[in-house]
Amino acid sequence: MTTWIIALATACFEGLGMLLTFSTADEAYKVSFAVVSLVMVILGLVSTLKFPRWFSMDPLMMGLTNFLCGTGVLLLCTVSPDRGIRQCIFYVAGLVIMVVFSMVVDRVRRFRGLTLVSMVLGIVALTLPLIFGQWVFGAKNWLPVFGGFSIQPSEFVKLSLILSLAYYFSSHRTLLQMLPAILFTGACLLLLMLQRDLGTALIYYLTALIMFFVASGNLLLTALGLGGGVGAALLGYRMFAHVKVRVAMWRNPWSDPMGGGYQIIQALLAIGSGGLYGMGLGQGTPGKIPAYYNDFIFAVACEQMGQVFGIALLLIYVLLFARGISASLNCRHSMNMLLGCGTVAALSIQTLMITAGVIKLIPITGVTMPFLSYGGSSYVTCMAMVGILQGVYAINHREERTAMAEGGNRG
Amino acid sequence: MMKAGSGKKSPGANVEMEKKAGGRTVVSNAWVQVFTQGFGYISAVLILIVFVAGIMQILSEAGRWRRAGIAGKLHVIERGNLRASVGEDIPVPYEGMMGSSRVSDIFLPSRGVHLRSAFFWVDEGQLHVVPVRRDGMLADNVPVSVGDEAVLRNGAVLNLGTVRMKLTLYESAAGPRGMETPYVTGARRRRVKQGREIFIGSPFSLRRERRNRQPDKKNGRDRPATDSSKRRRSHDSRSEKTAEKKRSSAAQKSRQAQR
Repeated sequence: MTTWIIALATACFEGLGMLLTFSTADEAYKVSFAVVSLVMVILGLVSTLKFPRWFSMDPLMMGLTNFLCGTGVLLLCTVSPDRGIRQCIFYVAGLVIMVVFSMVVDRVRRFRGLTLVSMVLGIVALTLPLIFGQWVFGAKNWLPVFGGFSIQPSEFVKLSLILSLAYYFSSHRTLLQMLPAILFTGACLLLLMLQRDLGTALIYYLTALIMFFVASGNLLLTALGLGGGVGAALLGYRMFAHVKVRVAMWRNPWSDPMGGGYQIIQALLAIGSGGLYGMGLGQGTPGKIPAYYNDFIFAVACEQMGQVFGIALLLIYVLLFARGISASLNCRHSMNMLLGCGTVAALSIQTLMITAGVIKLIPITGVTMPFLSYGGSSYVTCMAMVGILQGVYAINHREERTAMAEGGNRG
Repeated sequence: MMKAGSGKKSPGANVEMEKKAGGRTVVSNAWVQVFTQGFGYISAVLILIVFVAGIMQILSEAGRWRRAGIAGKLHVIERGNLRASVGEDIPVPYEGMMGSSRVSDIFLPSRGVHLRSAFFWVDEGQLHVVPVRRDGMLADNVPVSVGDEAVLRNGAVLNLGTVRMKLTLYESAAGPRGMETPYVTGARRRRVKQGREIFIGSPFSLRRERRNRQPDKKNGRDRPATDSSKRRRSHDSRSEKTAEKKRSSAAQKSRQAQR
């Protein structure tokens, strides 16, 4: 029943929003928007109501993910139609990737080969932007591929990191047995520092630390690791000029309102001008925020749909992560449990970092908002992560049924 | 302050708002603006419906998956001083530690069992157990010493301390995922035999549990007692302090002998 409610509410939200966008759109986009609205509504309903039956997925996780994705596509269609249409294509690709990852986690039993291959590919993928990449916003983390498209390999390598950490930290391993994953994490962090992609490096580092704590329960070593991270952050602050600027602009953006502080000031003004219920879909002046379609999409959502919607959006994220954590902690296989926990950690850290950055709680870190921001690499990776969580759910679901059939009773 | 009709547009007063889209200018009507603002309220209501529905589903599924990931069960035949009744089933997950610590994967609350008594894992439908403490483990009445590996099939009987349990493994029990390297390596076994095994697990929670056991120390129940230490304690008429010294020296000697 609740699944139906979520699916219908999501369909209503997407349908009404797209209808509104369609009615105010330029003639050139009308046909595209009609297709986008149909795809979003139909795929949203099918994936929420049918995927759980076909692939043993969690309907709640699926429904919440669809709602977030729908919000992202809707916002992008109103503020940047071309990007909105492309985001819809990423959504379709993301759903396919989600199903594939869910099946891989559910069906594959031996992860050694997969982990080793993904680690090697991860190192290669992080090295390529250093050789062939270009500097964009102070970081060299984009890799140009065919047809003028670029990808961000550090987004895909998150999956390798989670897989390797889960594999090497599982089964009560000793420190020596954990070493390959620790070295891999260190190498990734080093390459990310060379790319000057410090936001992603922070996500990698905190994810690894959380996974270590979940695997070992050792508070002392985790605290030591956290202390090392703080030291590295201070070092980064001293070494990189753009980090210094970001921290200075976080402390007082009004010191340079037309320069470094322009973006954050515009974001704060957008959130404030939206009020409780927003200025209306497609209204306001989102274009004044330079990164309105990726990093600062949360500010656009608050401006157009209001702060109540913004807070509720964060609650939807919390619900999604809580569901993921619940599925992970109910696993009795340490590998699956760590896979799930690592995925939730990466997604939640990313959400927390960008949301807190947009509302000026912490310095802005230049990461995307999962499921909302424009960007193929990030979007597809986030969908793959939900696929991992769905795979963990599917394992629990199957084992529960098997144990019940065989008379397993915990009393 | 902006004057009305000054020619400049304020965000709140732009009934005829201009919007750039694909290089062309589109002028929206008043009803569109009313509808877009109305959508703000509608979207707030819809997202709250989704949130409440999600909360309801989570609450309705609380306690689900209680049986997920269980490879079998240990049926208590003789309880000894285990705080469980005879006939009770203790679930066996695919891997972990068994012991009297609350964080153990197989929780055996008994004075005869150490906080962390043994590693175990299920592989190819068999339960592998490696004791890390001398709790007098017997696998099908065969003693298993520290660091040795006992492989138990379905129906095997396991003694730990004063507890006697019968193992039932489900047909589907294959093994923990992602485990190609040995669960307990040769080096780890050697360390266990030498009494040098370092756990990466939570030292704080274990320390807390040990501290909670302190009141028992005065009654001579400070540590999980093996049969030999029980015998020694019953025949010992000297003070508690002397007995403690004796026990520690005996343990040291046995460790040296093992080396």
